[in-house]
Amino acid sequence: MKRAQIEMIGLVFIVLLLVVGIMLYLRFSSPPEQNNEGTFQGATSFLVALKESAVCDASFERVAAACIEGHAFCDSGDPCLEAQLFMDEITSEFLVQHKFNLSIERTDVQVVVDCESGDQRTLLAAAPRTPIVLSRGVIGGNIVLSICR
Amino acid sequence: MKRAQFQTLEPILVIIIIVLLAGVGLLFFVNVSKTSVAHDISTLHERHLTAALDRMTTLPELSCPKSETENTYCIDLYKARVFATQDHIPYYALFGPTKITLRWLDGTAKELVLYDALQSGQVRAATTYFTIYDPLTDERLFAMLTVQRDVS
Repeated sequence: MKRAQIEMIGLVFIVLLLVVGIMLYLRFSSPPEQNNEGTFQGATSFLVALKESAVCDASFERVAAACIEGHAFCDSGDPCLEAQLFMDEITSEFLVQHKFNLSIERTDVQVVVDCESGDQRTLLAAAPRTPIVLSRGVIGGNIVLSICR
Repeated sequence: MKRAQFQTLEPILVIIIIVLLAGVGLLFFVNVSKTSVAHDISTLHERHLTAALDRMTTLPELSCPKSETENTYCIDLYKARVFATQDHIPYYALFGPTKITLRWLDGTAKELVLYDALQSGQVRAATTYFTIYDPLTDERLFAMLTVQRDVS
């Protein structure tokens, strides 16, 4: 092999090293992914606490179930209104640092704060749900808390 | 530069390039290591905070009556008020340099500092939600527990 050929191989080797180095740099220099596990746990504990909290001398779950079933409940007779008021109150006090969408499925009860519509997979940091058991013992829907990025 | 001179300098140039490449590689390695260590420290702080929250929410001194804990754990508001007035030194081994605050909604938002051994410095915080049981009204109220920990 001639000297020029050996030098060419050396040059290719250096270029390869540079390419591998740049690829490694791009791979490891990107910021670590956000920890969504903590957000999911926080949102789940929020839903469990919400479901058990007292509204109109009953649990929020019972009020939500009455809202889904269309039964009269609470002093006002409107469980959906009571659920909406309670969710507004809770979120304004305890979820101030988040963008979120809290809703009861199969009803119009919903609190939305700065959650933009779009590709939900990229927008959502966590979206746990907790089931609502209706008066006849079946699951009638979920309370969903979507935490947006 | 004559060809003969260039041929003499060539090995030196090769060594300089190799040293430069090695230097860049070393810098990159140090940066990656620093990021990795910072991430590990952050994870450790998160775990300390979560552990403090878990300990506080399952502390027997604060637990609800058995009838209220069939499904999920809760804190007895009456016991929490008593706990907040107690000497916190015996609990330092459990909670360390933290401040643990209970907030709940009972018509208006209310707040109670359960434990405070926070020293001045950089602080990180974590939050969990649960219910507190008010034995006077026999109601479960929405509550939030926040732990702040000294990380400096």
